[in-house]
Amino acid sequence: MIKLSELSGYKDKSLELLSSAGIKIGDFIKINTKTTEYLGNLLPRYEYSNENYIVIKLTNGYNIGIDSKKITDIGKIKSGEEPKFKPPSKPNVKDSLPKIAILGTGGTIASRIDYKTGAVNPAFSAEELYSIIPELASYANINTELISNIASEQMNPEDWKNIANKVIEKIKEENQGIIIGHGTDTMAYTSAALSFALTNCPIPVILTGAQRSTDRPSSDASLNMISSVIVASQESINGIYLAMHSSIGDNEISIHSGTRVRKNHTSKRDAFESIGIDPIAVVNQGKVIIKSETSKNDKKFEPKINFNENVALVKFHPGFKSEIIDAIIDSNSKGIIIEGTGLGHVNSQCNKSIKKAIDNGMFVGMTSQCLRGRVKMTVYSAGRDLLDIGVTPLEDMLPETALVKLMWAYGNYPNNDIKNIMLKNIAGEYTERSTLGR
Amino acid sequence: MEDNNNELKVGLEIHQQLSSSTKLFCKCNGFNQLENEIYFKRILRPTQSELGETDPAALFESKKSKLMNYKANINTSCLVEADEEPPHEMSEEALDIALTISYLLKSEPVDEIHVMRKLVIDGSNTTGFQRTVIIATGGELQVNNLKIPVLSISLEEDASRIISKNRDQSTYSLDRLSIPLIEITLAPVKFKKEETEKIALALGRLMRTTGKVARGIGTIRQDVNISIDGKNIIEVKGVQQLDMLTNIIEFENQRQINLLKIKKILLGRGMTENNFKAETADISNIFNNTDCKLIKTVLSNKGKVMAIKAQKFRGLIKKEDYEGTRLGRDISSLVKFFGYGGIFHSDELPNYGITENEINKISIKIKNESDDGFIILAGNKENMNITVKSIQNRLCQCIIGIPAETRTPTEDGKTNYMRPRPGSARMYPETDIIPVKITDDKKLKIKKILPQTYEEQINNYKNNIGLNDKLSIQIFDSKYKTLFEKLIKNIDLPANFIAAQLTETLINLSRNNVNINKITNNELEEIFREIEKGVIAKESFEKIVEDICESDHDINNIINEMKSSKLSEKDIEKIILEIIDAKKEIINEKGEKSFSILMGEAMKQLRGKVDGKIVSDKIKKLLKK
Repeated sequence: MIKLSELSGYKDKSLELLSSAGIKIGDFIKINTKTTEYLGNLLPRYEYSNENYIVIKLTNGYNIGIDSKKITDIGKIKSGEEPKFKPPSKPNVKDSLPKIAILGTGGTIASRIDYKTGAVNPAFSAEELYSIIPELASYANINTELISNIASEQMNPEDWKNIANKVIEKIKEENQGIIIGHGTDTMAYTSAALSFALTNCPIPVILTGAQRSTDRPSSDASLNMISSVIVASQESINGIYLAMHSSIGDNEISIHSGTRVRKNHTSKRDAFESIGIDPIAVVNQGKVIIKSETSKNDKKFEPKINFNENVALVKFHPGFKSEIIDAIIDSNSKGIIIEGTGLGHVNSQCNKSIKKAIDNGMFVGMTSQCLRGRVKMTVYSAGRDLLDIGVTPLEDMLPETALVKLMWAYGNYPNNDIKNIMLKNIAGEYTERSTLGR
Repeated sequence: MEDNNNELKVGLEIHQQLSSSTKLFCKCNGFNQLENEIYFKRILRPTQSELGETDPAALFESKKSKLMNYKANINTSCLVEADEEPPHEMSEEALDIALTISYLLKSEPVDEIHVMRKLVIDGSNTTGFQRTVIIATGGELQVNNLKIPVLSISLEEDASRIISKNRDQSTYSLDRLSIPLIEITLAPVKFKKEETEKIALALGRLMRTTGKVARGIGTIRQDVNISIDGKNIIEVKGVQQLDMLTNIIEFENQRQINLLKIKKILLGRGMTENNFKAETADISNIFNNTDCKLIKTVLSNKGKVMAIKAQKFRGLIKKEDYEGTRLGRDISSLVKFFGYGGIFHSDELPNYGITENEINKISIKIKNESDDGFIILAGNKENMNITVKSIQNRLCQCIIGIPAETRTPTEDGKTNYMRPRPGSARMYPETDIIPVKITDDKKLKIKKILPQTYEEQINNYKNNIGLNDKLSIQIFDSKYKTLFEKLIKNIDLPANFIAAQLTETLINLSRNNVNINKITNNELEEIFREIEKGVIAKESFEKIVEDICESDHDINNIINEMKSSKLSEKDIEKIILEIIDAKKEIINEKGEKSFSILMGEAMKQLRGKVDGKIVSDKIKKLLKK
């Protein structure tokens, strides 16, 4: 939230003008130029703009920027007031409803707008969520905790570990389901990471987010959240899933398996897709429709939550320089996932460097940049040569999932187990059958 | 406050579509393709503000989350209109047009423009807000000797086109969404009946001098701000026809005068804001055996009947000195906003099956005295409390004065309550677009190429181009103004002919239900070029346009067909001789006066193929023989 006392963002000439007139953010001021007189409230100047403009909100609600070089007179008329936010009270929620924990990691689930400064402030307490998304009160008793405040692209394997620890804590607190609000850019990496770290998780853990910002009335956040709460309340489901829109309309939410989901569009609501399988369920008009059999898994829950980020994902392309692989070897990396072409190929000029990596004890796994379909390295000689060197074909595992799995394998298992672990289907990362139609 | 000093002030807000080649925030363009192949549904949810809303109607409006159906055509809309992609940079072309208009109004552009999001959650914008930006402030519009100050000029996205609407859902088409719209807000000025239309007309023409504003139904819209107490402004939204303006303003004037009269009487009867209490009571039981059909239905559907006491209002709810201005009508449209059909009030009862006996019981229940009245609200229980509260507030406002609100015009020149007036507060920055500087270079460039005034352009049409008075004005006002100016420079045909085709001929076709929007400027130019070459007759213009608009044939095919059916001099003579032969008796009888009959007959066969002048010359020549 912007403090009214600071002159946030202003520099040089603008800052000089404002401070010498004793003006603070939020004050109602008068600015004269040679031609015009403007009345309005001083707004903060955002950081990307380093030019000397002073931004005010006119009384009709519009913002404008005034070139400080053209200002002939500036003065304060009235001091600004801090916005008075009255937090909403908690609605009556039936005790019999499932207890659901909602964890925030940094993506915004809901927000409030401060029309005075234009600031969009996140709203996260259970009270606020109930007030902004009233439907939640008829599905669950929610408790919330903000565990980090980082944008999705800033997330590191260390953060996955923190989230995993928090999930374990929330399971101990007898929550029936857990929701993780997450920025969408790397949400599928996190869902893969949690799928491995929390194998056999006894309750549903749902990652969700918003493709369109939560300040807009059209945001997808609310329906994603409502549907996530509904799925998290299901006793028949456990494991790690990702819930986002199935289409560009607000009709249906797809529940994707945590290891087979990918963000395939920069901005659309239905950016997330299950690759090679159908979503395991959809939520339509408040009802969960199971699409594929997910028999409740009651194997022992033994979390392994460490990650070793010292591995690389390399995308092969025409003109690819094998020195890149050499550099990875020199950086003491533990393993490499290659995104090869087609059925799992690279230019044979790279073979020497790849062999060097394997000889150094590194794990080298092959995935396909086609994303759909599985690698099959026995079809062409290019593939067979790589097999001879010792490259491990990773079937239809998604390249990003393979990367995360390799970090997890090196984080929790000794070096000589890595190949076995990588080839074992641990969290649905492999499919056995390549079904028609997908 | 002394009510006698009221002065009617009217401020116009004109919204005009610009005819830029793309939409405001993406590269889509235009209308014309109305077949929609993409459908999607959305639910819009209110966003919470840092400040709580206090007005119950505003709260209710913000809580209505309705289902929206959107239809789109992939050629006229993209992911931006579907709110599936951030907006692209603002159209520089649209900005330049807006700046040009600003300078024409002597308005001063701002140094740096900031695109804002104005919350609108009726579904007309897929995002739930309208993108809008102030371009310039100040300035004036000169209308004869009158100078109307300009408050501000902004550029904004047009809304989606509504296709249908009911209580639970609305359907919109996205083709119109995000077409650039310029909004010019004029300062409220003392109202003179004959001036308002002139002001609107002058402003429309000033914008048209740029040749870059859209024409046709729905491309220009007026909002009118009307106030008589100098404090509370009534905004009437979306007046499409200029000739309705005066009626609407007069109606609003009378309605507001009526409200002030009611206030005076209430104060005279001892009411103040502080001692006003509108008690309410559930009166469902009173109607157990009622003859009122409406209430009977409500009760059998498990609804409820409430009475709201209108203390000291006896006679005031129906009071009107001007048709339609009574308070009862306003309260009725208020409850419609909440989804109820209407109200009954004490001034109109007994009636509608409600008996004297029932009225007495109600009066006892809410302890009414002789000066008091009441309102009855019957319907489902769901929104009853908030609606009753709104009625109470509305009654209380009568003691204070005129409530500021947004109203909608009716076809017969009245206005109806639409919603509470949105405060200026419901705007915040569009963070996806960085502010744009309007540099001194840009300002200079635009100032250098400002268009001539309306009067100058009309004089030029008349004196330099040789158009007659009527065609000068028609072509100036038409959407083909720019095309016309291009054609007269490049094509050697009489200006009056080109102007007449582009105005009268096209209007004629349009009146005969030919969809003339289908024809492009390039196609029109092509037709004129062929006429210029002499390969087709002037008369074929109408027929070719009709064929292009009504058939799926390519323009070249249509023109070729015309060429091949072009007749030789011999063919024409042969046809005319046949007619003369058939009409021999009439010719003998009437002599030269039979010319017009022969001409009519000949043109029946030759229209669109041969120039009329050639036909008439031939008939004259052949008749002499």
